[in-house]
Amino acid sequence: MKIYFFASHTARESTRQNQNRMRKLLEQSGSVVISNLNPTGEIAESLMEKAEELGQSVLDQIDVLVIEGSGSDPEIGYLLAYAISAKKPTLYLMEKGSQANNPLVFLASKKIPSHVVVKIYSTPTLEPSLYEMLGQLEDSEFAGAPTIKFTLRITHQIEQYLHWKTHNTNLSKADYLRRLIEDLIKKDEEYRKYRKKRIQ
Amino acid sequence: MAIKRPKICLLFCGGTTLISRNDKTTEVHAKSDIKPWLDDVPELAVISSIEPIFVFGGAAESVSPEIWTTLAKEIKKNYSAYDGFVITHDFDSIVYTGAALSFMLQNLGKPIVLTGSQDSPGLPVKGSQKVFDSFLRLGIRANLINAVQVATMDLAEVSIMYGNHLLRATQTRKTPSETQSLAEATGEGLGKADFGIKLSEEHQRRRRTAVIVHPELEPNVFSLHLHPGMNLKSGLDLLGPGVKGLLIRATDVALKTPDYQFLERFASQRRLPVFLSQMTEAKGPKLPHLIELPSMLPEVALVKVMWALGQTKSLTQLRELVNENLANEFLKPLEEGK
Repeated sequence: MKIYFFASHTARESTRQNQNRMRKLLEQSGSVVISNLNPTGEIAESLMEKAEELGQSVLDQIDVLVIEGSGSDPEIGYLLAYAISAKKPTLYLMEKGSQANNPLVFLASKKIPSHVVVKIYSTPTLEPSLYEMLGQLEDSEFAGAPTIKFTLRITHQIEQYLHWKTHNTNLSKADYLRRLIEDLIKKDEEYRKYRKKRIQ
Repeated sequence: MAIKRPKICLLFCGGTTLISRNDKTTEVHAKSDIKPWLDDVPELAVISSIEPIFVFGGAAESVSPEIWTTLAKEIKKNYSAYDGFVITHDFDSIVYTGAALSFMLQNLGKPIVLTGSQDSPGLPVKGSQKVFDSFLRLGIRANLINAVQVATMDLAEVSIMYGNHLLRATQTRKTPSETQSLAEATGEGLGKADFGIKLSEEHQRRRRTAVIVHPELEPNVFSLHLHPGMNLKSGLDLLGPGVKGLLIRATDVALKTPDYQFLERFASQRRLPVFLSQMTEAKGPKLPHLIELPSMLPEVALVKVMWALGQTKSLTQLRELVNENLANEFLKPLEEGK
């Protein structure tokens, strides 16, 4: 999962420490993290090159936005507007006491889409809040969207079976295989324990 | 207390194709279309407080000097009330409007950003679907968010926000590709959209100034592009009595002394100022009725001639005006290797 983590420049010094913690926690969760805290880097550069080639916004190539928005940076409103328009899963974190800076107050609450999750945190609750929200994303519709391309060579017999299984249904062969694997994941207790441990 | 948002004036002038949440296409053709259209882009409110003004809702090919004048006057009228201005515009003539506003609005202290939908769905333009798909079928949405953000930033120029590029209006050209795209002619542009909007080093910053508006234009200007082998005289035979200025583009051919003499005679007899846009290295003899233009993009050169003729009929003053780099319109020589 590719995460763009934006940390408010105008936040207080104590918040900056939390921002660095957030970035570390996100990296520890196994995601690729690109952040304005360290804007250069091979991944960011290659994403920008790809965006230029495709004529797209580089943010289109990011899976999740995480915004630490305790300050009043104009970029926060921009990223939130982008997230709403592009239906990008977004975690918007504000330190307790900084809610006055929230630009989402200018939207009617019903216009804030469910893929934009807003959370007020305090230093002790930062870690569980972040992981709880990442967990929410893992269960979200987005997490189930197949975005990774994978080449699998199969035997003629498997191909025949897949054809027979999906013929005259709305399912493609790929859909059928994805569902089989999803069922396996749901039933695999060992794997679920492993995921939980990794996130905590 | 909530944060204070910048106030942005959104002027509607075409290019408003928007894909709504339910995959319907909406456009602004009349003032009454604005409210439902804006209701479909609620996210703009997160960036700024938007106030709309309807200027024009017709086809791109109908954008005329009259509309450029209306835009300039609306901006002047509302100048002090807003932090920045965004203008929606069709792709085809956006560079002309951008150039016109660059000359009409001088001493600018705030950003003016033109933008538009990437394409109209269903248009039989080769590659249009590809562009539309690559922009997640957002229509104007992505460009508009970028443009509104730019209008809140520390910039005081007329610019065009299109795709990931923020371009200086007088340096913007259409790129020769099958898809709709714009690029800066010689430089790097005014900025870029990547993980946010980043302005380049070379740009005019906001300043407290009183904008000066020169909205007058002479629309009766004829532009003649000379190609190799073309007969100059037969081209001039086309000109009717209503023409008030002639722009000759001789970028692909070198004019010779007899051509200059013929043009000088023609201009003098017709009492018609003739402007010459030539290859950068070509310089002709100094003749009273012929005015050589510094190197500019063709669209910009035409608009500048129209604008200059709107300001004065004096040949001396016209010569001075077109030789002044009023809005960074002169093309910089390309750096080696670019």
